[in-house]
Amino acid sequence: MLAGLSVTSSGSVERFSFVFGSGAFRDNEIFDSATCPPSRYVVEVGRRMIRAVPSTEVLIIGNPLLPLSPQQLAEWSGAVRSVPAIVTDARKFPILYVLPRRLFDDLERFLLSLSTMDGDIDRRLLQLVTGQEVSQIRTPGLEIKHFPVTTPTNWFQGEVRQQMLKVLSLAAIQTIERNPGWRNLPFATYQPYHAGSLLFLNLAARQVPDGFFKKQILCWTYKDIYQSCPGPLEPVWLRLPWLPRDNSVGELEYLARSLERLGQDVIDNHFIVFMRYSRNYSVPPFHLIDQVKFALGESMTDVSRTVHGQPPACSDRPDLPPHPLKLLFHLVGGWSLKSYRDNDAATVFTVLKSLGCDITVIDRPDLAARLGVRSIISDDTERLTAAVKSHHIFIGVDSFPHHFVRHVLGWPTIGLFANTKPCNSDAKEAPDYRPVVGNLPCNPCGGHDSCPVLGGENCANFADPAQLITAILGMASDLYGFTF
Amino acid sequence: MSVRVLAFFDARYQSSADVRRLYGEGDAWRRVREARPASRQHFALNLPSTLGQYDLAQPEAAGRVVAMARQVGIDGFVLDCRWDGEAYVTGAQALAPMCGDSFALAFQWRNGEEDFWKAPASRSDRTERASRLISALKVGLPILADGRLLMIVDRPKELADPGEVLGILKEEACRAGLPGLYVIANRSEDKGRFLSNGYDALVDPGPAEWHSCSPSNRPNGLTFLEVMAGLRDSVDYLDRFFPYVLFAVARMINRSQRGKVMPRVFPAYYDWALHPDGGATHLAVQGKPFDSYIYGLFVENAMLFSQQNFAPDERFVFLESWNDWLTGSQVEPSLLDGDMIYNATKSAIDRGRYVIQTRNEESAGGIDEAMKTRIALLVEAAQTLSAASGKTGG
Repeated sequence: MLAGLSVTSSGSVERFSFVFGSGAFRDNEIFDSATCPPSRYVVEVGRRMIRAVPSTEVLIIGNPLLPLSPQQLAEWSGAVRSVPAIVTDARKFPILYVLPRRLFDDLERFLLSLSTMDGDIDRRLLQLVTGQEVSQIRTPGLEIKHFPVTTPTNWFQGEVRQQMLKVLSLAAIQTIERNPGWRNLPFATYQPYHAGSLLFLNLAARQVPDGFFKKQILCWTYKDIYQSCPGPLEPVWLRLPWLPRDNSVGELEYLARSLERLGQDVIDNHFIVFMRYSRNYSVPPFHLIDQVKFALGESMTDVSRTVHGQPPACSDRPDLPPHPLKLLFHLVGGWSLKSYRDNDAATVFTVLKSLGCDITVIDRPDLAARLGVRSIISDDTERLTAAVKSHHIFIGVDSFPHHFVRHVLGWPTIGLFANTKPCNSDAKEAPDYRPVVGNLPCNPCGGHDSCPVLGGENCANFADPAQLITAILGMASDLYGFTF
Repeated sequence: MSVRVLAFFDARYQSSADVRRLYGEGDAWRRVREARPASRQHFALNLPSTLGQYDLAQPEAAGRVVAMARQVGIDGFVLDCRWDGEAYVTGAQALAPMCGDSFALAFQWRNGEEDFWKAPASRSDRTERASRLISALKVGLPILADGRLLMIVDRPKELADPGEVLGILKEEACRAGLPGLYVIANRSEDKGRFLSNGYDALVDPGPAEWHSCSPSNRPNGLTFLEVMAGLRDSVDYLDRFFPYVLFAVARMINRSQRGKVMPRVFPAYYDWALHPDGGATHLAVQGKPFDSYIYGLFVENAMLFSQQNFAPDERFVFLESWNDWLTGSQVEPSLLDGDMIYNATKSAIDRGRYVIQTRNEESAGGIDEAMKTRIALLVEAAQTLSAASGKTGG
């Protein structure tokens, strides 16, 4: 599905065909990452071919958005007479890129700014980056027309996202045209408006010291997250509130306002790359931190490089006596199906209280009052940290506090998953970390407010109360010698 | 040990004499080729593409089949074992030379086709017949579960004196030099005390045998009259149609409460070719026979369930099927669907194995079975109290 041809100076051609990996890390698999633009796969296909054929001089790489075979590349690149070149469809949708080796040796990161959507834009960009004329050849028999929102190869590209890729490619062209020192300008990630993604970005960046990026664009309102979990990417603060969850502001409109708010000086001095989802992140079994690592430039060719293949980055626990067992719950996800059911929470609390446990609930004063447990509000990472450190175990749904508590504080944590896939956002399982979830084959469903299979606002894939209590008490016993 | 995926395999596609005698067919593919839907609601049967209409008696053909199965991540085939009046036939001889190196064979005993096992019989007669059955299973490299050869009993309720029969089979297996017999009952839950009768585990029945949710068509008397009057397609009355997603989800909800039941997964199912007079089971996803995405999740989650709930050497997922072309459940690449299901299977098994690697065997080590029981009782009491206070407004 990801195709390439390597051409050496002697004219020999080697054909390559790669697939998006599902966890086996075979030689023909490329890591599946949702958090990078399609152009990141142009880079990776090129890298793989050069690794296999070090004497490669010219690389012919299919547009990663299209399911292409090396045979098709060979056929359609036949009319190319000079390098670099782009072969497009009748409407100038890029089909394949013909690129010189030196782009990969010296200028690899600039390929991230290819739109992969518009042949004219990409041609102009390549001309500026290489300083050479780039020929553009149309294949008369092929017309992509409208690229769909989703594809069988897992691309997730609505019309808006396509426009965003073009806008950022145009911004890159403008940067090169306006700034003679463009070769030394930093690349900045653009995913300013989601707390969990921001956290994962910074955690990932710590593990990719020599990646493409030096900076990150993020909302000023997330300053506390950055301060609690800084990474090597220098922040470029965006003084806008985060993107509303109710879709009242579209992503494209938000990008336009972001560029306006960042100002011409920022645009002239940075290459900005879209880093929110271009693919469906929950299809591959890979952790979002690993998906970001790939986006930042790590090739991720071995399981040992993954979050699950490495020991936890940090681990900590309280200096408290085992009794009473202090438990901190966070039960509200970003949407209904991610939130733990009140009825089940009531059962869990009743049983745990009967066993002498001391319970605190974050951000649910109504539930806490009804069930007779302590309530706290945690609207920043400082308060959350203080609350966590006075409890033995944190139990949280798949949301920012869970990821922060585990990946940043290293605190004993039980992850409560339901309609999202644990392996995308859990942590390495250990005596002090355990994800708890059912095995329904509708997971992950992508639903938000109501179950698309069974109806209702609750997800049937949450662990039942007995399983959750067993997990909590098992961890308490293992870590603290808790008995009951 | 990771979860092993075993695919049901139809060994009739071969020209060996014993298999031809058993099935009475000159060319087993002919039935697939010539089956014609009786309704536009019946999905057309598919035919093989990459592997062609093979004859397993030819070693090259059998080798290609096993190679493709290995490539997809399947750990072995489950072959039917049938009585032909004189001996038990599996068709395994054709595949046996290709086994080894983590690919092996298991068997499903079609006991329901034999009257002998349904009726009372002397122990010596049963022992004699059992020894023939066991000798038929001594072919090639067996799949071992808990160190024993794995065999599924297709119709466990049709065995007279199951405790004695299973005891005899296990004794005969040992006498024949096998490492023992691991017997799985084809049942969805342990209601009939199967495990205490000597079964080692259960496996979900196939889609036709266990309708795990309500059908989307619910014919009544009016439907019947409309069919008779020629106003309606007769399959609306005779067949049952199910939404695939709900069918699969229903099989996985609260499944740990059904006992030691191993999951069975299937990409598609429509068995009208086996029911020319009606009574077929059809699974569909929005008018199509399969959805490779949902099917992949079914496989992946079944693997995780098996990993979480069974002992390391007893973790299996049963895949229906490698090549049951007559029910549309085949994984083999096909003319109509190409390698979509094949690739979805491969990808799902890869994902399942990756996630299993990330799991920790030692989780919740501090809680023993007695404590789990106590927790379950406390949960039940809390739920009862909550329900009671809800009723009284308390």
